Amino acid sequence: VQRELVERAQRGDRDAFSTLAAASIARLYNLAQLMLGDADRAEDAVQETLVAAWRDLRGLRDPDRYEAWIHRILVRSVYREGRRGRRSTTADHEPAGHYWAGATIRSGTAEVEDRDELDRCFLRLTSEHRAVLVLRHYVGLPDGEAADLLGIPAGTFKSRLNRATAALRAELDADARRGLAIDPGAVR
Amino acid sequence: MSGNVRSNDDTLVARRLAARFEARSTSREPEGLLDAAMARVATTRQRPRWLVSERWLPMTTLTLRVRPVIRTGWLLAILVVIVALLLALIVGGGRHGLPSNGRILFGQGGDIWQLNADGTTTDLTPDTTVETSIVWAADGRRAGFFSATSDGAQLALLEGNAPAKIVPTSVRFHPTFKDAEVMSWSPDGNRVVFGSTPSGDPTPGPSRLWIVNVDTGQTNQLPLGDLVAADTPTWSRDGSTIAFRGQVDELPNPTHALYTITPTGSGLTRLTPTLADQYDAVAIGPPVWSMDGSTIYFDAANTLGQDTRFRLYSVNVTTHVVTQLRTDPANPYAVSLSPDGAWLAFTNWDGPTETSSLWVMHPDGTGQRQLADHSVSMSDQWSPDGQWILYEGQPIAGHDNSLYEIHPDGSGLKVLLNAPSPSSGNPRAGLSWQAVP
Repeated sequence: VQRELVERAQRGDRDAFSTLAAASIARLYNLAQLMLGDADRAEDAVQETLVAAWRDLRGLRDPDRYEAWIHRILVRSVYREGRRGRRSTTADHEPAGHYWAGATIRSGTAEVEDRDELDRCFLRLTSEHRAVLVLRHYVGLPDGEAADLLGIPAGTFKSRLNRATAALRAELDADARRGLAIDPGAVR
Repeated sequence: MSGNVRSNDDTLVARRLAARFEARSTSREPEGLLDAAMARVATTRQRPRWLVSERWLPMTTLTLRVRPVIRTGWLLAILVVIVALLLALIVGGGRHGLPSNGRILFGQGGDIWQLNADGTTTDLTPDTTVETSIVWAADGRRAGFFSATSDGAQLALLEGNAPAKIVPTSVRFHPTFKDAEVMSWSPDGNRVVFGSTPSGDPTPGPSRLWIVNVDTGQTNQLPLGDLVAADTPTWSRDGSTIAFRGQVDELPNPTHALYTITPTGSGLTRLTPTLADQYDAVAIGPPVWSMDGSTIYFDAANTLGQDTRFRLYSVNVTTHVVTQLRTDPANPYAVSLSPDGAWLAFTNWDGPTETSSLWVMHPDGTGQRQLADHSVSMSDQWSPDGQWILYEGQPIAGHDNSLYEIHPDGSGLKVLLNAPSPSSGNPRAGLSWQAVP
């Protein structure tokens, strides 16, 4: 059924594309918000994805690969949103950089602090690193499929995953250090 | 706060991530998202098949298909490319400012890259470790960087065209990849100083200052007296002194000031009063020595509630007199000095537009000029001959994170690297330009 819908959409049938979009939009949004950590930017990324998919659908040679194809477009949209988002991130962190990026108001329980810290450190990673971590640890894709989705060789995916994990661990370490150097209670 | 989170165990990190993703996942898209997207689709025309640049090509089964008839679109595309190449030769064919013996290195995506004279890039560390914070020695013989694994970060060197090599230090450091850990070379190119903390501690401590002899690996920690922490050390041009930011007071009210110390660990001297009462008081960028070593330029942030303001200052190393440098823009920080000492470059942060801009002025405050309106914070680097400033464009519309160069008088703007993301994104971890022997 999906193949037929894709072929109809490739011929310009917007209703068919709408059906395809409705079937995948929740999944696309979920991935985007996990990778971006921001609901508004995730919505933007999903909209960009669907518009780009519609615009370029005729370039899809194998309709059976529609799902993988649109997910690749999503990842690229997330990268773009991530880069755009660094501007607003910069407003909070960049001039003084990491020094106050680590400051947080204590949340009361170790579990909440743990969660906040993980979120904060995850969001400091590049979009590319966040994407590989989500694809591996949430979607659970094996190397080959994840690499295919990202449009990179499997070896590159592996090394990028290693780097992403190392970068996250480094951010957690750095956060721990900042926790010692910064008094969270001093944040006004 | 975070000792319970920190772990060197990848599996534990992965498990925490998976649980966090699971908790944050959602099965429904926001209401109205589909309608909004389809409304945009309704006004979007599909591209003809031949014009779609990003076809789905399975990576493992790429095949070349020769079409019997070359379509008009392809002919047009080829013509456009030819015309563009001709225009590039006519208009932009001049040499850029890269000296014939100069090398630009930068860290990105966990590797160290070289910007070649022809505008291409070369990955100098194509392995699975994370490399960052590349800095050239002043004599151009070698460049230092940090190479990080799960066991911590190690100092590493690039010399000539040889592969990178690890400096055999007895200490491994926490791989924090931050500007505060960027190293400063001694003028003779034999030692580096940087702020970091050993990776072996169960709970990483405050940053201390370390001097490493890059030839022998001998590692010395500088004594800091009663200081709580120290970072952003910068070697003076004559090699006699190191300036750095010191954290004066313990929690809960940490304050900072600028200090100097000799490389042997003697003569710890406080140069400035406490300039702000918040944790981000002094030195977002590293302190900058004047040519004669009599003055240090630095930035300081006064955090007044949520409104952070930056200022540029100079301090006389002998008299300890601190002077604010008057700048046209209101929020200057991250100062650097041209190799001939004639210009100070700095960044200005504009909160309302969320952009930073690149400025220059003479050390006496004259000749202030804005060179670029969308530069990335702290990315600017002077060319070895002082004729160019290299900076990274802020990654927003029309100003992607390409690398640009411009003369300090505002002329000659050129794009040095148009596709600066060889593997994965910004921000760059280090950017260093040096003439090599």
